[in-house]
Amino acid sequence: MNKRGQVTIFIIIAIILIVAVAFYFVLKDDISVDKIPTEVEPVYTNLISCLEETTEEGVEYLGMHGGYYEIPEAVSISYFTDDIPYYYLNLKTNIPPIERIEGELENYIHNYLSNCLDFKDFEEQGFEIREGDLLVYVNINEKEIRTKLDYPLTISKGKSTKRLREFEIEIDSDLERLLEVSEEVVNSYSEKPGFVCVTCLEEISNNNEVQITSAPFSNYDEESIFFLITSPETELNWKFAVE
Amino acid sequence: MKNKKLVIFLGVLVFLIGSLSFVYCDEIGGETTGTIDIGELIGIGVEKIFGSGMEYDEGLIKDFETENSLNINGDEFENIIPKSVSGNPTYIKLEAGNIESADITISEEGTYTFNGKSTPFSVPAGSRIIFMNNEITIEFPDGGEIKEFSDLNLEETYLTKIKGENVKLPGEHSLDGGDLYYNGKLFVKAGDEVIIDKIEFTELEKDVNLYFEKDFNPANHKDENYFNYEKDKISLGGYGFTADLGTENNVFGDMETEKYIDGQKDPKTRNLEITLNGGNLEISKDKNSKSGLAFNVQGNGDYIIDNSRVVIYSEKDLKLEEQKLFVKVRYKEELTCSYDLNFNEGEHILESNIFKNNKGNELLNGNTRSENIIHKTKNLDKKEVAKIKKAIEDKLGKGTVKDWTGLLNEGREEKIIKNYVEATYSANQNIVGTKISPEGLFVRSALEGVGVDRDGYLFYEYYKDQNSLIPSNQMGLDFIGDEQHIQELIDLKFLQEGVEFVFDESGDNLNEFSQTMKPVFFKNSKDALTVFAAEWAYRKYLFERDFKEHFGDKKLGKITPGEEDFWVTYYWNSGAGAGKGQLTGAKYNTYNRYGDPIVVQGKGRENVYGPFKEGEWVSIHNSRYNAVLGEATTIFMKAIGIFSSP
Repeated sequence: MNKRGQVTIFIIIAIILIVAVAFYFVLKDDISVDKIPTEVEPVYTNLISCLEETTEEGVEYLGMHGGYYEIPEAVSISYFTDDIPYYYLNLKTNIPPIERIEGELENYIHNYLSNCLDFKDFEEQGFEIREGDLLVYVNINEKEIRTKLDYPLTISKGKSTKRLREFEIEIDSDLERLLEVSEEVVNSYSEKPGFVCVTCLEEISNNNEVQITSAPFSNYDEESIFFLITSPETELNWKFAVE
Repeated sequence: MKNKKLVIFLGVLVFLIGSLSFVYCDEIGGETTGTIDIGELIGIGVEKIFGSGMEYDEGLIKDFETENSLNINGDEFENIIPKSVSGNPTYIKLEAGNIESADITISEEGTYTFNGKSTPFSVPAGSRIIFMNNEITIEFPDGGEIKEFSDLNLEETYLTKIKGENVKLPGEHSLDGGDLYYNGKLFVKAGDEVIIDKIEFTELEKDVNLYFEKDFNPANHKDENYFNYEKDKISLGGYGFTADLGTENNVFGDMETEKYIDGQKDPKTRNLEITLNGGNLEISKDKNSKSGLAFNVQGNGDYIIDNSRVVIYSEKDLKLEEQKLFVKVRYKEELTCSYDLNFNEGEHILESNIFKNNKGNELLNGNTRSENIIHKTKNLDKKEVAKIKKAIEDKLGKGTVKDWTGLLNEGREEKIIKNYVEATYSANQNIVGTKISPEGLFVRSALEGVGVDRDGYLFYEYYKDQNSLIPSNQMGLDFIGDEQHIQELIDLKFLQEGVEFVFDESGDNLNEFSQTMKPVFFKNSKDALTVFAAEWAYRKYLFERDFKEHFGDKKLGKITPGEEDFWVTYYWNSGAGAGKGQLTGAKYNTYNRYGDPIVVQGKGRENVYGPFKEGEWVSIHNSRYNAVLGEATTIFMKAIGIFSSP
């Protein structure tokens, strides 16, 4: 090997090292939640608590609207200003799948996060915050709901600039279980549409440790029945209608 | 000659005596005929059938006279009322020496025997007895009584039909209409409709046996359709019949069956209708019930109980050997009231229109919206309400929450609440997509004095006198006298056709801008609230339009309902021009309190909207104060959930 070749190898190694070091410094701020730089911690804490609050509000809202943030008009009934989805309409079951509910919650959080996210206060404290596009991912599990934000934030204060990107929270929720109970209620209803099998509701209620109330409702030209399922454990309500 | 004279003398004497006796007979009882021996006439033997005071012609004994007596094969028939008096066909038809058929009306109580078999009870005077095809029909006179049934079996009596509308039965029971049968025991025939003790039996697919036994044991009647009357208790079982307990039944007769609501001329009535489809029930008065309007129901098998508002269907799931109870709510134009039902010793309870289990879980809430609003208001947890009120006031300012729930907790308010519900629905039919909430409407109207004013209920006079007119200017609708504006409300469908405005052409009203308006009155509270809701929704539409124009559509979607209520109240109070000016920070024209035109600089959304602070001017003339009041009280109403769906 000649000298020129050796120099080339050294140059390549040097470039690799420089790039690696640069990458480390660029990405070190958003490597892990545990390593939040102290300078941006107030912003991070504010965002996390806002995300928790919005997720909880969203779950509550979705519960009272049968899992929807935006209910398709064709399958809903209006109770004053509240729209409630039909889970059973024209003799067909119409329960939103869990993936749809995840999407609805994502939309809710996307739309309402800014209500509690107040960067103005930080700006008054000398922070400069630049926001990238917000993406929300929701994952509903048996006992909890995970919400993850992909939300690039560049936060500068004085000469220091830090970047935050991924935020994740987890809240306890039995939403999935209430949805499953709803399916049982709708199946029971579909056996004799137009009637409420109160002993069946009682059985479903006992087996799943939830409270179920039905409320027949006549809205001038249409007759429907509301169902309200409540989890005594989490106090989450789940409301839907059947025709 | 002497003999001839004697013959003439005797002839005249006989004639005179004859004439005198004829006159005498007329005086003491009318025409008499001698005894007719019909048995001899028809060749079945002397004195087998004989009688007096009637005629016999070709097998038919007829034309009974006032005094009559008849013996047919040893059975006496007396006191048969002549046809001319009773108005009924009156005859006895014979066939081969026996009675083939008969139709007689009797003037004295007694037991009557046809071909050796007697009526199963002593038939009261005035009854019509028809014997035909080996059946006896007895049509009772009004108030006729059966003192007791004989122990005769079917060998000794005929199937007997009892007809009448006010027939007293043994044991203070009564037949109040229709046909009742006796064949050794009392029963109602399939297909018939009959009322006994004011309980109506209908849609009978099979005969139903009736009993009046104390300590009735249903187990002994498994293979029959039965209905037993006891004091404060009925037992019924079988298949395919309906019993309607009506409103005045003798069994539970002292229960309150009617309920008067203020402002309504006719009372609402309670009723209970039971259909058996292969089940059995015991229904007794619940003596422990606070309302005194409850029944205990012990039931098995398939049955339906309709208490006028809620229908309970019990079906036995043969596969699972389980009893399933289904419930369906009956929707009616007019509200009715209902009995409470306590199923199987408290396993389930239907209280008013709410069906609960023994753990207190509400499985079905069948109340109408107005009933539910009253129900929820009555059952508010006061501590919880105080907590909610405090939390709101901590945020929006002390004294900003008005608890008007007392206007929604009485039966007499049911009609007004129904009007709120319907007015909200009506206003929300608008074509611009604006939606008002019943809470917002209620709060605004209550703050305007629709619910109360310093003299009490604005609608109070209306409760008492349905003809009294409701003045619009006492409802905060002092600007509604503008006919062009009314037309706009109708065109945008905030207001539907059919509401009656009564204009006072002679009078003048000044609105809040010192403009002259015709005084307007409404004929009833429904119209008054409908117009109020239309105007409230219209103001909201104006706010939404201005907000979108200034801040964009997206931001309107994010505005809190509380802020929305704040601004709509502001628009209502100050007018749309001032509302817009304050919302957007623009200048606007208005009038001062002396009616002089002035120009005011609006402060802008961020400076106007916010909590009510200590030291601010507390006055109904302060639009910001009113707006915070509207916002806080509406949030409060929504938080306690009175108007929300159950």
